[in-house]
Amino acid sequence: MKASKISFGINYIDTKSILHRLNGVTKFVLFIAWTTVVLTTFDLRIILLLLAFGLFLLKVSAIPFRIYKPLLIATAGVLSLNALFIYLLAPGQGSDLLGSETILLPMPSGYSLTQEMLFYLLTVTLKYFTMFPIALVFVFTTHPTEFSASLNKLGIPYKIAYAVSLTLRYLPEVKKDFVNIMHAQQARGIELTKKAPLLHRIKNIVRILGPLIFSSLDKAQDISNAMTLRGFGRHNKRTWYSQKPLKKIDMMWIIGILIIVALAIAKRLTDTQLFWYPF
Amino acid sequence: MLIEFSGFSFQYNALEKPTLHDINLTISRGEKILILGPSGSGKSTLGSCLNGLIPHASKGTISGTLKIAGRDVSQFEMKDYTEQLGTVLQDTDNQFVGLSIGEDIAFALENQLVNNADMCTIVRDTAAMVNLDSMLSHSPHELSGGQKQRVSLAGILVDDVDILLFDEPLAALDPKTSQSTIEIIDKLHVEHGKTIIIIEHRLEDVLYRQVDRIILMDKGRVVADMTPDALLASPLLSQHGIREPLYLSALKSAGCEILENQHCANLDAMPLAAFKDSIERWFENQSHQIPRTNNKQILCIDALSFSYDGETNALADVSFIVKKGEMLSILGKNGSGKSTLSKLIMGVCEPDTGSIHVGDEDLSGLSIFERSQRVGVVMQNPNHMISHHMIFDEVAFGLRNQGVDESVVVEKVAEVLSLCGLYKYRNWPINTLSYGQKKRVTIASILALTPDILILDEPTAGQDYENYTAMMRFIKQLNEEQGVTVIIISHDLHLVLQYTSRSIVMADSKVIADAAMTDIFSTPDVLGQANLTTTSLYELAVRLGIDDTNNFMQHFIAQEQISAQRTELKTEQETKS
Repeated sequence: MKASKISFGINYIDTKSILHRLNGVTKFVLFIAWTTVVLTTFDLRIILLLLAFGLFLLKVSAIPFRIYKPLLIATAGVLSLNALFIYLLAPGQGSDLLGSETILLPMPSGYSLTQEMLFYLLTVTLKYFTMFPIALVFVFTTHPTEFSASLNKLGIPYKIAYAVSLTLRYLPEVKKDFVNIMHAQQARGIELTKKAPLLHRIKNIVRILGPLIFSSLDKAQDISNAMTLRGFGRHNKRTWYSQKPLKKIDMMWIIGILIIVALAIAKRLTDTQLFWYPF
Repeated sequence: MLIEFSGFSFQYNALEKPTLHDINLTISRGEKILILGPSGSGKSTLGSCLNGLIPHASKGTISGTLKIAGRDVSQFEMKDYTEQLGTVLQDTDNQFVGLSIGEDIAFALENQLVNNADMCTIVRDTAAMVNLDSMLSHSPHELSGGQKQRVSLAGILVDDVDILLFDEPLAALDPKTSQSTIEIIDKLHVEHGKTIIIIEHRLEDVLYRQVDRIILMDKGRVVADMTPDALLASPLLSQHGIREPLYLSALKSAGCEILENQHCANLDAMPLAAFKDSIERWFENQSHQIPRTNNKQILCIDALSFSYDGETNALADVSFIVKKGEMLSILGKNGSGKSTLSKLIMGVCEPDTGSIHVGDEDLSGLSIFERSQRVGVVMQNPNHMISHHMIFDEVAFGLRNQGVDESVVVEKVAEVLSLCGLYKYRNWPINTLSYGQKKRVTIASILALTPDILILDEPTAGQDYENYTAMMRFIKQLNEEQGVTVIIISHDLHLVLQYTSRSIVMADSKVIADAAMTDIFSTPDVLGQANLTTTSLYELAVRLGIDDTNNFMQHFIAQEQISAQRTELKTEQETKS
């Protein structure tokens, strides 16, 4: 395994946009609300609206396109594959759910391509895809400790919330150890490249995990000592350096978000037809 | 009395014998104390008793009493300790828990429920004390080891404690950063009146600034409690395996008698006039040693460049040659390109331009494993290299991967293990070994593949003087008797000075010097660029008005080697009789 020259990471980038100035709590609420709405709806109009708004937020966040380009390609790939498999496994699902059948391309053994199936696949794929911009916006604009602070603010115990930011802090260190251990083993003849058969490679990777786990446990002991010495766990509450107060603009966002979620749920409960299908 | 141990003993639950025996020790407010001792002397355990990790995180049996600020600690909760005493631990990464400097400094305040507005002010003021106030939003991976340590220090200063405890603060730092750390500690002592306790075995580095008292520990007991001058004038250091300052070794080697009233703890304050004659006589006696020369080149690095991200070069046009049988050092601060160089030689990264030849063979077409049979790299942390339970299997691993017949494996492993002095342990599980022995196992496992060149990354890190000397003697022996070419990557000046004859100095991805080691150690400019400092040996020569500092150092090293051989012979004879 050679060290890759292109590095890309999914983490906080401070572009100082309006979204960066919003409180972590607001962004977390937005993310949860977004997920709720996406899960409850199969209405293409709402989905397109969310998508447009999501892409708009992504634009506002000022994250350079090159940073999320690989992610975009990967997501698009996975979703297309998902659509293909839905078609292969259940080619008649569109007609079943939408209640009509308009054949566009006749095929044997139930694989005829219908207008309903295409519409269904479009709805489902775009529905999942709406999560893409908001997830990016959330991850790229929320500082991890601010996120921990927000979790704590929303009632998650601080020891659990702090684990989130600790994980992000030490993940790169564990990765560094892993790479070191891997190199040491490769130098003594462990084959981790494509030259070795897959099963062999898996066995060899397991061999690396042993030393990695032991060195990580040592590290965990040290970290825990350092935290104890500085009074972690002393009270059953704690304050957060990176917590910002909720401002008026945050309250407005949260109220707006809650109204939209309520409307979305109400719509779902009153709708007789799960899908919106104009044809 | 601020701290008072009386008849204090401690035994870890997991161990069979006590780690601390009958400690009687007092420290008053405003003192600056060094706790000195070899590995396993109990000095770190003593520190853990002071900061409350014992008994609150590590369990064991305590007898006798420890009082801090007049109160018996048996009544203490964890918070009572942290209100009195702040600890800076050895590993700067593991105590940096925040994702930015500001956040990490604030950690203790967050846990004390300080409100947000006050917290920001305190953090900014404290950061200013250690010159970090302009970097509050920087994240840990952007910082050097020294900066991380200053963050840790600020993180305990927010609490405004009276006592500051430093557990091996210099372990991972290069010489220049060590000096500035000692300066900062001294400033806190002098300007802010803090009581300072430093746990270290690197005596000379700590003595860069004045210390009031040194507590020498060995085998769990306090063996000396005296002023630095008195300790240095006594024979206690060598008896307990502590390296004495280089200038004192030189003076003693020249037959000078060191007395307590000569300010021997501080070279600048020492009256040297009395020693001048004997030093000059000693220096006149120098034997011009002709270094062994071998013109056969074994490693040739030519115009090597490499960049991790395609933008900045981690190595820029690096070229040098290593001759067969040499013992060479590569010096440079973190990020200068030393470890990138060893990665390129190992083959885990491919160079952008340039080539590496071992003998006449170009390494570029070879796999990592094939390369390691020509150039063996021993990493700094043995725990990263060891992947087997038993010592024998660990050493045999590379050979088995080569597909060597098992009977040959058994023979060869036995040979390597006896060479490394590990034969009697061959059927032991590795986790029963000490750190230094583990290091030896990793060297053995590399030697089993019979490489021509051995690259050692910080071979003596984490080891005290005695283990360190044993390790280096062993490597020297490999070099002399087996003809293995040795390259040492390090920033330990003593190590480099004593064991290597030529140095390559790297700074900012380039080679800035390639010369005889004593030449480099006589060139403060070059040393400064690599974050190294001159040694006290050089300072001594300068203060005595000796121009030929280069030969002065060479003569000293030659003398040291002779006396080392003598002691070796003596111990051998003693063990025989």
